[in-house]
This record gives sequence, C-alpha cells and structure tokens, in this order.
Amino acid sequence: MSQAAHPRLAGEVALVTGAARNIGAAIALRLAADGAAVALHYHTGKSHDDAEALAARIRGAGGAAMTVVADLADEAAVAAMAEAVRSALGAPAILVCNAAASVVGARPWNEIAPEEWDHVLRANVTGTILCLRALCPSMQRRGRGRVILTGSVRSPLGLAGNAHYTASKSALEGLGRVLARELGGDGITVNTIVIGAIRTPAEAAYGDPGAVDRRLLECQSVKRRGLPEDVAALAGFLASGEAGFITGQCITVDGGWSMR
Amino acid sequence: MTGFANRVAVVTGAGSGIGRAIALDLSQAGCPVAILGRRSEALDETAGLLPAGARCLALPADVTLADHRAEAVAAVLARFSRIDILVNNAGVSAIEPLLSASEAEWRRVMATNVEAAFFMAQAVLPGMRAQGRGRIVNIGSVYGALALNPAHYDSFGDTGAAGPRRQPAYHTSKGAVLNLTRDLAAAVARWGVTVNAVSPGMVMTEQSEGLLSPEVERRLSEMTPVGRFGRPAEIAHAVRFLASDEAAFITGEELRVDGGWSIW
Repeated sequence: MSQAAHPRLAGEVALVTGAARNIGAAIALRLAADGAAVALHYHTGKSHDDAEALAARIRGAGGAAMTVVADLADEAAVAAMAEAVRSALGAPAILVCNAAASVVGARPWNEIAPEEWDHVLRANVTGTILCLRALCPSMQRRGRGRVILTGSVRSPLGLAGNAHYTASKSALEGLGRVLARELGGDGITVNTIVIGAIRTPAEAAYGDPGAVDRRLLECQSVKRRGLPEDVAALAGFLASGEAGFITGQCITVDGGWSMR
Repeated sequence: MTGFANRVAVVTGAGSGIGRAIALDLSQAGCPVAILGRRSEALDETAGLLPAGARCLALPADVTLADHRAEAVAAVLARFSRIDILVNNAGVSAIEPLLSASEAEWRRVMATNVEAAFFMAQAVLPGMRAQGRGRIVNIGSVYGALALNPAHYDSFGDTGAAGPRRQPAYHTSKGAVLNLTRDLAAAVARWGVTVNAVSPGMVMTEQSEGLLSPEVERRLSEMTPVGRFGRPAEIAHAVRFLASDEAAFITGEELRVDGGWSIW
C-alpha cells in the first residue's frame, strides 16, 4: 500500500460495512491508503479472521484500522457498532454501506419464499438505513460527510433471477437520491456505486470460471474482468474532498455493460 | 490518483471557464497539456495560470473546422509525440425565441458540441489504438437528459408572438453527446480506450456570472441539494478521475457533477 505524501483522506475516519473480503476489503484498503482511519465491519464470526488480517495489513502499512462485528439488521447492534467506532477512532465522516446479504444462483421470482424476501430486504435495505441512522447525525452536527451506497448493475439491466436481491439494490438507488436531498444542506453527499460483474470467489456458484468469464466478457465493452479495486477507485474519489459537488448520483462501474 | 506525469492531454475550449479549469487541473496533476480554443489571447491567459515549468502547447483552433482539427492534432503529436487524454469541452449555446430559432444557429451549436466532439475523437483514436490506451471525456450537461422546466427556471422570458426564449439546439446537442459517449465507448473499449461524459449542473463561470439574475441564482441554489452552484474546478476533478488509469473499468458512463440538482 503506497502512502502519498499528502494523502487526501488524512485525518478522516471511515466505516466500511462488509469489509472482511472482496469489494468491501478493497474499498477499506483504498480509503486507508488515502490516509483514513478505517473501521472494518463484518457480519458474523466466520469473517472474524479475514477482518482481523485486513486490519493488521492496514496497520502494518502505517495506517489505522479496527474491526467491528454487528448484525446490521439489529438496531441495537448497529448503535453499539457506531459507538465502538466513535470511541476508538472518532466519529466517521465517511460511511460506505457495502454489506449485503449475498444471493447466489438465479431463481425465478415466484420460487423465492416470502421469508427470503424479508431476509434480503431487511439485510440490504433496513440494514443500510440503520447504519445511516446511527452514523449520519454526527456528520450533520459537523456539517460534513460522505455516504456511499452500493447498488447493482442488475437494477438497470433487469437481469432475470434473484428478484429480491435486485429489488433491494434498486431500493438503495432511490434511497440515495432522497437522502442526497435531505442531507445536502448538512454538507453530506450521498451517492450509489452501481457495481457490475466483479470477480470474486462467490462466482464459483455459477459454474466453470472460464465459462463465466466468457459470458461476461461478451456483455462488457471492456474485455477484462472487473476487480474489487475498480470499485474501490471510485469509492476513494467519491469519499474525497474533490467530489463535494457530486451527490444523488448512481455511478456505474461495469466495464461498459449497461451503458444506460 | 497518480500516473499523469507523461500523459498528454488535449482540452478543447480551454480559453475560459470549465475548459480552463480542466487544463489547469490536469496540468497540476503532471500532464503535458495542449489547449485548444478560438481566441489565442484567452489561451495565453490559460497558459499563464499553469504551474511553473508546466508543459503546455496553446493551439488557436476552431474545432468545427476539419483542417483546424487536423493541424492541431498534428501539432500536439509533433510536440508531445502522443495523446493519452482528450477532453471534448468546447461548447456553445444559442438562446432564441422558439418559433424563430434559426437554422444557422442550430447548425453552429451542433457543429461545435456534437460534430467536433466526434471528429476530435476520430482524430486522436488512431494514436490511442496504437498505444493500447486512451481516455476520452466529453463534457455533457444535466440538460442532456432532462428538459428545462420553465416552472422552475423561466429566466429567458417569453417573446409573445415568437414564443418562449429557449435553447433547443443546445439541449439536443448535449443529449447527442451522451449517446455519442456510449456508442463510442462500446466501439473503442477493445483498444483500451474508455469514453465517458461529465455533465455539469449549475456551475458559475466567468461567462455565466451575470447571465442569471440574483433571484434566479438564488432559486437555482435552493433547488440544488448542496445549496450552491458548483465551481469549475469541481468539474475538472471529475474529469481527472475518469481520465486516470484507475478508472479503467468505467466506460460509457455519465457522471453528473451537479450538487444533486438533476434529481428533481
């Protein structure tokens, strides 16, 4: 991790949810490389070791990091997480809501049980709102903040399958626009990164990796697979002071797939 | 965002406003910059603002003219040997009564905002293709995808017989720029070139200052979630991000820099 001479997020505190692996981890590493002290949220004990290893890696590179575990669908747990971060690192001015209930496969809409709808919507939408409720008031008091939500290219593309996941991500796009308006006067920007196909280990559920690559590269204009760092680069920019006039936007990182 | 040191940037419409800010920002990041514009004294002013020791080539040119484009691109290649970044910023508008808007003005706006953007891209793409890398950033507008709602913004007035004063060619041209961006992006990704648009919202430049009445300026600020107009430098920062190596997986995208104005 290279540290710039005058890192653009020096003195900032960031909370990244779902930071133990993949895209969340890349975003956390990026914000840390840009000088922010980073709180790494993870959801369950099975991510504990990954989150701790990431925190150690950030500290080893001269950065500041801590880990926090919480079920984001539980209001009390989210409040405790926010308090733990505030007392250890200070109140975050940067919140990256990356955590999401992961859904693999491509079941049709009418094979998804109502309980699964509730679970995914609660984790992805309510979980995000609970984080905002816990973290935004301190940003409002200071008159400064950056909120980054994570959407999915499944929303603009309307890809078949897993309608509950797509519906939850579409909800965040609307939520982001509303909050941009409601929080704009407090110096807080709210944007949604609409994420395309990023290569992660979870892809194994979709079969032969070579076949997955071929299918996706046919769709994308950019003929290489997306990487977590591609998303992290945009998150780093949106979190910076240079992006203060960008808010309420859904910005797509998909290698020229959706082209909307 | 590093790695601009030997990236040669060409910025059209660099004699004022947003184009000047983009040239300045890319130059500060380390790019050798070629600045194009119709007025050489305005380009000299821009050049004078660049950091000491900046590599800059000021090229008076009208980008609506094929021979000017060809000469300018040849001059950049002769001086800097390569072109890594093209920023199609040159843009004009025509505000006319709707029912008497002229063909001449329509064509002038399309020639600058749309045709020049495509043909500048066409002129630099062979080099980018050979390099296997390039960045094209087109300056769009929030009006590329949205109608100007007179209920919110009626400052241009109504002439009566000739109808309301509007800028149909400008809005049409910016819509065209957005789809040109997507279409080019799909075509040139294979060469390692990304094509994106940055769409400014309400931005205060030396040209727009004084164009709006204080009352309209106040209303537009109130309509903007961040509560203020943007600064040219804020557009430039977005351009620089999309022009950076790390934005390689973003293409065919419109990035609105408008303080949330367009979400109404």
